[in-house]
Amino acid sequence: MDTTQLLKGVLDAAVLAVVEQADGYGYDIVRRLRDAGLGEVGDASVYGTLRRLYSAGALSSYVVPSDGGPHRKYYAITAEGRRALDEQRTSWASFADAMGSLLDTPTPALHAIGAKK
Amino acid sequence: MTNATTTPATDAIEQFAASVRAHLADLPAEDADELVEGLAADLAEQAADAGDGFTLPDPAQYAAELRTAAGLAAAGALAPQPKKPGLITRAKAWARRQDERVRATTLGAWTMDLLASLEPAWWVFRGWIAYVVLGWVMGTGTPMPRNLAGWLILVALVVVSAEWGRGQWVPNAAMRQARRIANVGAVLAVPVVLVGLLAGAFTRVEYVPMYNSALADDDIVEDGLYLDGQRIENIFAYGADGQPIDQVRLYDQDGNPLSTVGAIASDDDWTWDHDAWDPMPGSVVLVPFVSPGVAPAWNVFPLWTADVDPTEHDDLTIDQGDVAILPPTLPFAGIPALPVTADDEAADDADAAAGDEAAADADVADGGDAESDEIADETSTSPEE
Repeated sequence: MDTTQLLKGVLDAAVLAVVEQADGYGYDIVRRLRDAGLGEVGDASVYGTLRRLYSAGALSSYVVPSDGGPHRKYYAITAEGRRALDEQRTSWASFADAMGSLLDTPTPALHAIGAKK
Repeated sequence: MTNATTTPATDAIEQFAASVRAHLADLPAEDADELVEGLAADLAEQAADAGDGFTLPDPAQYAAELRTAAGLAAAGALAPQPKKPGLITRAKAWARRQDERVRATTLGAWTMDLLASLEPAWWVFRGWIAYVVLGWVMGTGTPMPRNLAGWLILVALVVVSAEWGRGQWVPNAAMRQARRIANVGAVLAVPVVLVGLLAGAFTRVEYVPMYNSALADDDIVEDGLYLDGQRIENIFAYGADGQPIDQVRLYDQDGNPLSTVGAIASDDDWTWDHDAWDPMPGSVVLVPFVSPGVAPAWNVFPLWTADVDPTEHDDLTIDQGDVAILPPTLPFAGIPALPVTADDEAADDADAAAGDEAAADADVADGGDAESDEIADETSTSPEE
């Protein structure tokens, strides 16, 4: 199964979770998502998502000057973002439970995806 | 696509970022700028991470991904809209849903069955509608035929309509299409035909002469006295000497009392004529001349006024005992006297002048006396009581 399709529905939650751990700038967040195992995440999707979450008030931003390089726009999670993330945690947990029990039967190939969470 | 070298190919990345920006040009400048802000720096870092294997993606796809993820409107080609089912398909689905819903109840099912059994009546009616419309188009239209040819055409149309209704005479798709168009046309034509026929009927009634010369132009006859469309409420007479005359009794050419209030002049009550005069703050309530043992006279001018606020009298009737009766406010305290021509004619002239001043020279329509025949009927003499 194409994981990019799966990612679409949960990218908001993933980005919010990463930013909740620590503030970060665009590519920094992409890198941390990939390091966390979401290797197929598209950087443009992440940048677009950051922009949308920022517009929605879930993220705030600030500019950090870097030595020798361009200034970096850092994103931080807001109270509203935390609330949204909590909601998505809850719904993801029940969704994952349901999918887990559905898929947690014979076919080993499908089982691998269930194990991925 | 451009291949970057091991060192961040700054030029290529800048170029790529500009190209992405160009693909977002349809967005508001602010949105587009924010989307590509820091893009070059991010890509440079990504290129440094990836080393040799780094390739720049397709800017168009990249821009599309950016805007989709950002939830901003996609440029036409990149985000095909899900195709909506056609209007007819949706209308049919809607009709099917309504049918199921109605048939869910016993009464609904009974009604639908009844309507279905009445369908042949609709076929006949549809044929007749087609006949009327055809008649109008040909310019010879009458609701029902007046000769043999007309009857043959009507019967033919009804037969075709009925056969189509029974699913006959539609051998191919083209005929089915024709039937569909005819059906929709017939449904649309029903209200037009009915309204047209009713209007025709009314038109005939309207042209029956109901009024003679004086009122023939007016569709609506209002109560009361009018001057150029404006209601005349009160009349003030001045003598030849220019002084106001207290009590002038006026009659029309037929000897009817001339009243400004119309039909209610025959009532004994002081009824406020609500239809003609909207009671407005500041407007006056006119009262007739009264004296013991005589019916109130509405043709004695000027009418006096009751000291009440008409807006506070919903029932439009005023108790005569409760209110003060005041003389009306004169439009002029006095007017210039007429030049005296001959002694013996002075009195006549004064009467004529008073009449001119008030109403006699204008388009006067007294609804209470709508049967007045000829304005020029000067022969009748003014009756004196």
